[in-house]
Amino acid sequence: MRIRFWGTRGSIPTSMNADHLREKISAAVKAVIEAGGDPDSAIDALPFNMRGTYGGESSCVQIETGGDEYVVCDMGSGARRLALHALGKHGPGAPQVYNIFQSHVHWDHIMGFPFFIPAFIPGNVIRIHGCHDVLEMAYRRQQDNPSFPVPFNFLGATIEFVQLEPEQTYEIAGMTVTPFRQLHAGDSYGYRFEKDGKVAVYSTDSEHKLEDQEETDYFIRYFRDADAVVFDSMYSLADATSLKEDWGHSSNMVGVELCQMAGVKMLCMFHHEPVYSDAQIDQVLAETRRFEEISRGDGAPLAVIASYDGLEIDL
Amino acid sequence: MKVTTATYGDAIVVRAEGRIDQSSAGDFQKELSGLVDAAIGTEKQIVVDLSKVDYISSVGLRALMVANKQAKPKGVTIRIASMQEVVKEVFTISHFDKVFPTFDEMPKALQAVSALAAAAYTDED
Repeated sequence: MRIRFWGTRGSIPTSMNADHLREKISAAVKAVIEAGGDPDSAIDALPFNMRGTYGGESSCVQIETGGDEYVVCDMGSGARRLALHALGKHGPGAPQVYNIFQSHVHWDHIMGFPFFIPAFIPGNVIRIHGCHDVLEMAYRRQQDNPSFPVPFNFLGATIEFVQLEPEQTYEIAGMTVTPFRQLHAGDSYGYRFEKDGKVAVYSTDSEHKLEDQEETDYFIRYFRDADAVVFDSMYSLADATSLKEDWGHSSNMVGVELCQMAGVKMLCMFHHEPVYSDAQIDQVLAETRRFEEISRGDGAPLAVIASYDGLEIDL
Repeated sequence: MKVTTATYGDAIVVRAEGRIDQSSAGDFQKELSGLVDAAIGTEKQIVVDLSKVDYISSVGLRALMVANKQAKPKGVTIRIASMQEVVKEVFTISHFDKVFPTFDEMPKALQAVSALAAAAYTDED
């Protein structure tokens, strides 16, 4: 099982401007000159925030299992690059089946669909799965006049909306998929994907109130023994419990604690705060890893990574 | 976890002991809430002494935040004193150090409340 991250930014797509890029280049060049030796090796040794970027596309994550059909969580702006990748791989003349699993229909999670080229190509089949009864309405509405020039009915692919029920288990695209309800305005749903003994959980746009034991146990059940959990760690704990309480997002610390309680192997921090720079996300990652050490106790170590646009993880 | 309280002049000092986590945060929150209620409408301020707390989880921190939301609009300040290194790290990681005034030593925290509180503490200590 492989997880490919096409969009990892929360709430709204972001991009670096010229000043940010210049700052990054300047810092990298200075560090490489100071290091001396082979420039490529010196670049590889730089911290991620200096040699790369977490990216700014909104939520879109692909789960690969070796099967023929695509499995994709959310259609944020990252879906545009996924489309280019798929077309580059198969060409436009080879019909594909795309299974989309929708956490919810807030704009940042569907905004990539009007730019998802396979939707325009007859022969492709796109099945959009989700637990919200407004799924189809939300997808159609964002392409209605005057919001977008190409109406949904113009799309050439066969597009189906598949209603799922939370806590029910389904066999889709050769995987066992179980949606579960999450705390977010209008509800959101996480998904547990299982195949050949590997488990990936996609859990974004959810707040957690760990003082509520029943709710905590519910999440532990769906996170249990996962190889990786993609987790909304948008805020610091202080923000998540004060100014941004009830905004429907979680924190890095709660992600660590939930994953530790559930025996998860890897926490993938996701839905990064749009105001955070690459350096700030690097810092949050370092602090989260330290918190994992502090809070681990006698439990097994939990790997902690910060996902970025373009990252691939083999489980 | 054990919680005791003491009053020094116009400072109510809350001393917690042990771990403040999933199993103990509820009691800690109740205790704090009662003390905040007692301080509201008086000149009293609250200092939480964490010198004997060896770990605080997100739920424990949330208990502090709930108390702060109850206290702050009513003019009661909650100060944090004498954190062990690990607890101090958790405060930094969570950004709670940006929410609460923190002090390395109890006398400094009490001095920040008032000279009266600091003097009462020195006399008794």
